Amino acid sequence: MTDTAREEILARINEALGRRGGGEYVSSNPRSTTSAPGVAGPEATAADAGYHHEGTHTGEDLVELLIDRLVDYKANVHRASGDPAGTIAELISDHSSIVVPRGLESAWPAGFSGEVNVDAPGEELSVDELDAQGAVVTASAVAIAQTGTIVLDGSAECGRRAITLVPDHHVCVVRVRDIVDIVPEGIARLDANAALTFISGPSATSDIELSRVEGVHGPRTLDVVILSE
Amino acid sequence: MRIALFATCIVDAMYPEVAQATVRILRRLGHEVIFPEGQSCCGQMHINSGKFAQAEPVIANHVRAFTGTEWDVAVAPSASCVASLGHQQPMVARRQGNDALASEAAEVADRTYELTQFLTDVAGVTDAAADLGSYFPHRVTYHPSCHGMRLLRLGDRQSSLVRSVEGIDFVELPLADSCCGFGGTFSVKNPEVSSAMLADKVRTVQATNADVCTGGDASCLLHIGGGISRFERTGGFGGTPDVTAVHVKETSSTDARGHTTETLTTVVGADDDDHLTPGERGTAPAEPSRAQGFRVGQAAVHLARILASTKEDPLRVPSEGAEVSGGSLR
Amino acid sequence: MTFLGMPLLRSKHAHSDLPGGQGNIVETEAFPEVSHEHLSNQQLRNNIGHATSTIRSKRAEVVSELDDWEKLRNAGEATKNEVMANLPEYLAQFEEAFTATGGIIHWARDADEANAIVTELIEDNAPVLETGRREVIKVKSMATQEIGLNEHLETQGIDAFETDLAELIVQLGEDKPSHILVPAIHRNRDEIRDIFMKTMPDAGQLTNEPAVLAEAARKHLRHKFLTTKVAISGANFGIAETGTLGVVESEGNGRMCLTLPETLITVMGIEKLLPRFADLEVFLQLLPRSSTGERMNPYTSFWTGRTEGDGPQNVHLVLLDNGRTRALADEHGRTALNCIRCSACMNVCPVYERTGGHAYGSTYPGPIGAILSPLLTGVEDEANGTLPYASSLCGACYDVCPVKINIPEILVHLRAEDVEANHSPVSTQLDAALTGASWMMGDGKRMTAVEKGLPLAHKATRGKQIDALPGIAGAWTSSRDIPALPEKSFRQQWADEEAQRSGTGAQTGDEEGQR
Repeated sequence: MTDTAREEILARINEALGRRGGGEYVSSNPRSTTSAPGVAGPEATAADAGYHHEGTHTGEDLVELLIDRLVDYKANVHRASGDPAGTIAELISDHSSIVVPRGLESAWPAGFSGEVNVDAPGEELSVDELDAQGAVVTASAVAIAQTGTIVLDGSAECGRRAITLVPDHHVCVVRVRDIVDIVPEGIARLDANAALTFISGPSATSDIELSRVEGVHGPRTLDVVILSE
Repeated sequence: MRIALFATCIVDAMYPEVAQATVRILRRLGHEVIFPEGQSCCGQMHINSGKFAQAEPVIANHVRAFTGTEWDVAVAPSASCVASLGHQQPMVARRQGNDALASEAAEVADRTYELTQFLTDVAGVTDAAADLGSYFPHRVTYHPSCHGMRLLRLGDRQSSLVRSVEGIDFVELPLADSCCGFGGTFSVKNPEVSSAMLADKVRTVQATNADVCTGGDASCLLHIGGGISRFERTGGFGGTPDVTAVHVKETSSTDARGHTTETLTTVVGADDDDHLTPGERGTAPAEPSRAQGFRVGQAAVHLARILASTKEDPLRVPSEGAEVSGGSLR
Repeated sequence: MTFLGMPLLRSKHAHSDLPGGQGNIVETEAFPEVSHEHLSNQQLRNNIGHATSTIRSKRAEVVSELDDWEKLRNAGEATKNEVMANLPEYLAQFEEAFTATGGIIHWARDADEANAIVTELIEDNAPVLETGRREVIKVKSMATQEIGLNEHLETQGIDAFETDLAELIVQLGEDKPSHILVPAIHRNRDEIRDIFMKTMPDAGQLTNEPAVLAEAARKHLRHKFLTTKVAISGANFGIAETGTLGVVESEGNGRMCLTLPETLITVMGIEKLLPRFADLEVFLQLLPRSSTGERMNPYTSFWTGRTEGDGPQNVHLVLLDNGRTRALADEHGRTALNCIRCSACMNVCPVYERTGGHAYGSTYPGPIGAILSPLLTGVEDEANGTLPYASSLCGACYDVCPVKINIPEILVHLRAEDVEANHSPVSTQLDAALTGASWMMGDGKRMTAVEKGLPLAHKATRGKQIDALPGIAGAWTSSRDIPALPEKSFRQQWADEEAQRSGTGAQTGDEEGQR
């Protein structure tokens, strides 16, 4: 049934586009790296549009911008240099147990006196176990300053998606070298094949009278530790 | 410069004084004005009603009238009609399979200017008092037409010319950029929605306490003036459900020198403290009424007439005994 | 150079034979009639007016932060045009990449087919509970609203739980969505509190504070998130190059649905593709700022087929036509398919602001709905025939559209399609008036002749304003006056002045005529 549907829909599209029997479509899009076979180049490409591909902030300005934007969307921001263990320990001291991904720097949660559960392939915590954790501590792949966005990419130090979702408190370490200025710079650093999560502040909703309220289903507290090395 | 006046159908038939004012302004700048006789309408009414076949002869007539005689630029006291020439006429002619008409219409449109567009961009007029002798010592608010704002991108051309008239007391219209609800045949196809939009517009105009509401489009002013007149005569809008989400409040602040500034603030929807509870749906009393002290005798006046007004030959307002009919000065 | 009298060489508008869509995209009553009831609802006007003005100013603020906003809009438009022009190739590329990573694709020609596919997948993967029914959790999706999935599942013994706060409010209130971003925009906090207290058995006493209401929703859904086996989602983007799907959200309910269940079923329209992963650099700027007025929404998730050891291992995608190919066939309307469902057009529309979303009778309300619904179903079937007229053509929607869909122009195009389809063979008074006007305005001489009647009309109305007219004109005079008619048209005044100037006139006085 579905094969027929597939052929019929593709035939309808060809009819809608006024194509008869297919034609030669050659990509002429300069940005196209892996365009679909036979794709026609559009008359005006997105690349011609001339929007910014790089930001203008660098150094401390860039870090300050990220902090400003994170705070604006109600994340708590802390700074550490070299070893963040002390800062992290302070942030999670109220909890009795936490979860960390297997690839997290082992020194980072070392100052925590409670139970540290490591989530690893083959030794995943169950959903109920995750629900019982007071917090999760992870690293991050990229941070975009202009929008106050942190990206997790499922790598060994970011962990699988569930561990940063179920616990109510997320402590996320952002290395200064992973901070970029604007969205295009952030996208350029990411691999589409990873399971990606973009996080901009804690869970929020604007569904009641379009007023923003922080804290719905995701972690209600987001602590960001900015780590200079 | 030899300027062809495109009066537009509504000005020609309903507001000849607006065309007269336009002619006076252009002559005052030393231009020769001609009136291509065969002109009638831009065709927008038919186009926006989806009647492309009926619009075609109207477009053809416009092109015929304006290509039959020599002129440098054409000027019309209407943003909407000028926008229709460029944005709609060629498209409709092409859709009708008449490519020749489409390119001729585009050529005429390219040389046709809305009045303030001409004054600012071509004639270089920036100060109406100095350059045109404009004088109008009255409180004035201004409604920018949608097509002037969004199709012609007039920006502040109209408002800054009006502000530069000698003696004028210019007051900002709250929510100025929201549509008055005219929309051509929209006002008869969806009369209730149109009236609801008009009601909010009239409320904001009244709240400014201005003598007149001006603008660059006779069609919007016909609508707004008609609404003001109806509201003043009857305290409502006839059969239209009289509900609104627009509340205009006057606040005043005093600066360090002791000068008081009055500001009109608009609140849309309910304030936190005046929520209606469920069950009160639809039963809330209609808000503003004459009891709230809105001025009576306001009029809608095309900006061409304000720019044409001088000390020697001033345009008079109702408080000076001018007659108002249907919200318009007569 | 006369065009009058020439035979009209009409370019034939070949109406597409492609089937129109079905489901919740058909207005069953005429817009002017439906809007009547909504217009007189003070509560609704307050709620919507407050919400839309809040979001309008938030959007304007964050858009003004980007000095390349117009360039981003141009890029967004160009990219979506590229997708539509090459849709078969991009779909094939997407399919290959998604399938290579363990995802399974199903194609659905219409709403019925999509509903049947989803039902079967649920039956295969969700257990029958003690209640004798199956349960799924859902993250807000326009496509599943459009096909009426929840209603269909209900009849198949499957309960679908909406998890987005606004969708939850709508579902618990047994209501319909009225906005594509904020489906419960027509409700205020007091109403929401009442709905929650009535329908959430464990909620207890609630105040009307949004934070308290959000907390109640969290508690209400927490157990469902942690235990339900099958989730249903939509998708904001599908990346042809990589087979990646993306969901943009705020609350974390999306992440819950996309991450915790064993089976994930996504329903996506065929038009939602982007060519390349890198195109997200444009769309992740355009969408949040246009939509919620934020620099970035709190959560965005991307997944590519199945990710080993992370999230659902049974991943399905239903690719939906349901009238999209029909819309694509309309060369003057097809850019409506470029819509990324941000809802900015609704928030600035003066008509939407006064009638609310329910008046549009479709999953897609507001300006985009007024073009998209008729394009999906076809106007010649008369369904949705009044929607293209539900606009004053003020153009505010076009100005804010992140992918620059020229909504006013498409509205006018669809009106022409409607006129051509000739739904009412009996000419209305408005039709007759327009026909008369076309005859008169098609020749300046006729207009001159007709205007010669002005002195008579002026006399007949005694120079007074006109406050009541019969027939169709009565729709105007029902709430507006018409000013007194002038004694002479400008055309006549000009002719008189010319005659005077050429020396034939004996009159003296103001040569500039009356003002």
